Amino acid sequence: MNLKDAFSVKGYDQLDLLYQESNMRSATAENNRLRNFEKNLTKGVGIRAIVNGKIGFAYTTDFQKLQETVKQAIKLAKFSNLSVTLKSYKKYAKPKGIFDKKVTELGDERLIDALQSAVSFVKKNNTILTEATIALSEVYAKYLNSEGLDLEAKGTGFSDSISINYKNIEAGWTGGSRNFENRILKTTQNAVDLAKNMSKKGKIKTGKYNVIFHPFALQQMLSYGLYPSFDADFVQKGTSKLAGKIGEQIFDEKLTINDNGILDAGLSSAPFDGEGVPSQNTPLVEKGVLRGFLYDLIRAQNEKRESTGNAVRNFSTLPEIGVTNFQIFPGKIKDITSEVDKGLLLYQPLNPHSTNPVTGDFSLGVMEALWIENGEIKFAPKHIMISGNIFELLKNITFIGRDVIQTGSLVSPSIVAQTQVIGD
Amino acid sequence: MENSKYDIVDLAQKVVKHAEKLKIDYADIRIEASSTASVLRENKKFEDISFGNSFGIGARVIHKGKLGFYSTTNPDPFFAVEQALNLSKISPSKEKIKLKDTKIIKDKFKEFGKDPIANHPIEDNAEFIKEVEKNANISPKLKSIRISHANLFTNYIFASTEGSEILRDGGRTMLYVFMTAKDKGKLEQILFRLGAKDYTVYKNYEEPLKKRAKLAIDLLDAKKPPAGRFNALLDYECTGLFAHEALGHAVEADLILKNQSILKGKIGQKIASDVVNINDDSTIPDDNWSSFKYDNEGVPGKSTTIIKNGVLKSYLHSRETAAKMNAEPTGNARAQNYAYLPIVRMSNTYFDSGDYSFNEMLEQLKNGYYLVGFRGGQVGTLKGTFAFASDYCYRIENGKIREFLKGCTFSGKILDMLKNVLAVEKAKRKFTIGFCGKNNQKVPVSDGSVHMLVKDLHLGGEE
Repeated sequence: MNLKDAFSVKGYDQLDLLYQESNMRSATAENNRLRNFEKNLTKGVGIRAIVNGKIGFAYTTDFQKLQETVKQAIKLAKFSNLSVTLKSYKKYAKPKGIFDKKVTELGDERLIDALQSAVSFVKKNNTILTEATIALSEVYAKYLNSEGLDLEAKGTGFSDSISINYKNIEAGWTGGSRNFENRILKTTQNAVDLAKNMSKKGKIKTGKYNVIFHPFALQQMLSYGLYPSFDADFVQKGTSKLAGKIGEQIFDEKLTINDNGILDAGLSSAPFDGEGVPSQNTPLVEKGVLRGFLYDLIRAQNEKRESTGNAVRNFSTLPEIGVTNFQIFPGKIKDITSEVDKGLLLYQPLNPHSTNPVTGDFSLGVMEALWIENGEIKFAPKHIMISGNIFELLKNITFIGRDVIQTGSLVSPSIVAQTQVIGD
Repeated sequence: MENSKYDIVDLAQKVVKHAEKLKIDYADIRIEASSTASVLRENKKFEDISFGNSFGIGARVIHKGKLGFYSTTNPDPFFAVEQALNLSKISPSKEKIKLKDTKIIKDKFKEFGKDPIANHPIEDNAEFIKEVEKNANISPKLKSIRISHANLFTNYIFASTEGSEILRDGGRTMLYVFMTAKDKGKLEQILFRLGAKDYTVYKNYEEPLKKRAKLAIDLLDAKKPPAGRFNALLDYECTGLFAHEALGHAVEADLILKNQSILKGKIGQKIASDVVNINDDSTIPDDNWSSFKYDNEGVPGKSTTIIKNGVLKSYLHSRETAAKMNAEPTGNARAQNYAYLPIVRMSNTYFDSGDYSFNEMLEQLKNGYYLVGFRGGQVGTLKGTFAFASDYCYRIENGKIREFLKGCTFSGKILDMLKNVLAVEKAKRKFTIGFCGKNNQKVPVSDGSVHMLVKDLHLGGEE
């Protein structure tokens, strides 16, 4: 297979191609037993043809059909109403720590050993490991375009996720990184501690309280309720609440946010995005003032500006604007829990996808949360809900912690804000 | 749409023969040659018209009681099964995995329906989407109309060393319309969706679509419902979601075995009020979205009674969970596609209709809320807590429908809520389509029902 053969097909003005190869392996345990081992290998290529400025797209996993796929993309271009001009670039940042050779070389038995150690740990603590997965991934991408770009990048990933049943209380913890770390016991310990803390039950009254939003909770709520508002596509269409507010104080001055596509060891870091545009570090909010939005080529060219390198895609989809590493800067408070007189420490909301992507309104159940009094964990409140609005919440932040972790696309500490908690 | 050049029957037979030559205790393979045609239009512009094809093999091996699974886009017929065998050998499992015996099936069928997807080329879909947009565009207050349409066409084979061979040719079509209304700085978004195995689903879509568009606009000026505990009337979408979230997940036998369900050990027990009857049925003919003839282990789909008159009758099983719990497979082992291991999933889950008329239920409710339409839900099966959101609701006063209010989340405990069902409507069941996520796999499901009256529902509205 020679990917460059795609360019010898006639009938396009510009062409780009994204080739991806991913190797995944994972081991799982269930009910205190190691269960199975699985692997997946996927290779595919997506083609964008630009004809008279319009975009056609087709993909395949069959490389003998490469030229046929290019012809499909050319054929489809006539229907499109979107236009784009592909470009070439000279300079690319090289984020460090996104590929770990050890992940690719690690023996399968090491995964099994790690999982076995988690099972032993859980048994010693008189708990049940209900479900655990440990996964390694290796991804290789190649981007070519008719403007002379010929780029490649590779990355690795390691994730562990553990669920515990302690006296019929379930709690979970996850970890994610680019490199292989010996952290499964730590992840397991966190899940066990949380389950044990949640086994003490209590009741609370409805009211406004300081809620500590752990990064796990923030990732879920912000990905539905805030990320879309920074998308230039929504801004241009007028469905972003932040449209027209650049330079305005939109949030509490304690809040500073960047979208950092070149963060060292970032789970979403890469030298280039899905259109070959160099990844960059984009300021979004500086001390509560709105500084910018996220762009791909199409949306950037609509405003005659440069893309921010936020075209997110895989080989089977057209690029869409998305966050890379959504980085919230740490505050001053070191031990957040001890600073809260009366409040809720929230790890997992229930049904976070019901958060309104347009308005930011949320009204959620609660899966994992602990009640704090005088800086100490007291119990898990029975049957509570939380409600409010993401934009209002971020306008009045009580304080921001220093406990930064990386979870999915979010790199953030805990955030504390007054929130309506509906008790039982 | 064209078919893949691979002869998947020939390929499957080769793989099975190879597995037999390797003296593997049990192997099954799933091969899929798929093509997709999708159209995305927003605000009178086609933003995406694309076409794709993909091919993949998933091989599952159970050898000496150990399970290995390998999936790939590589069409080499021997590679996947050899890799799966190797993975079973290094598999950590100490407990032997067994599959419950099932009928050997040889079948070959097409699921094209009355109006086959293949008769609608992508050019025609583009025209259809324009017409949908015109119909949805009922007011300048609709700031954005985003229409996503996709056709998926799959040539699928399941074959096992036990001798089963199931060849299916068919696909799915779906239409999602996101309508965003904006006025005086206020925004609301409403989704309209349709999906089926053929195009008959798009007949007479116009009025329901316009109703949804109007809803987005009406919600702009609606107030939020209050927070607290109330009695409530649920429409068929909320009731269906209730059957799926509040009960369905907790009876998935893999969760029972993993100690992740509050319903463990409760078969034969009364867990709901007398009026509660819940089934999961993958053979419903009029639901043309998530019904299936065989599951992804080759077990025939069937109707399973989960709750009868308030008594828990059965869990939902795969062959593996059935073997462990000494039950019969219920044909609920499903995988998102060839790249995933099948796990226990629901199909079409619904409350059976009851004895009450809508007006009788309103009268019985007297004061409370009437919740309509769903925005998705989630359940914690061990804790036994669920939450889901309605699109909108009405306040009910003295048995009369009063003001129209925004939607809100309602939350409850599985065991409390099932006992709090007061009445179920006597009417024809209606179903809503959607996707359900579990262990990172999404499969099409539908939930359905009639109106239902519930007491003591926890609403998460405004103070």
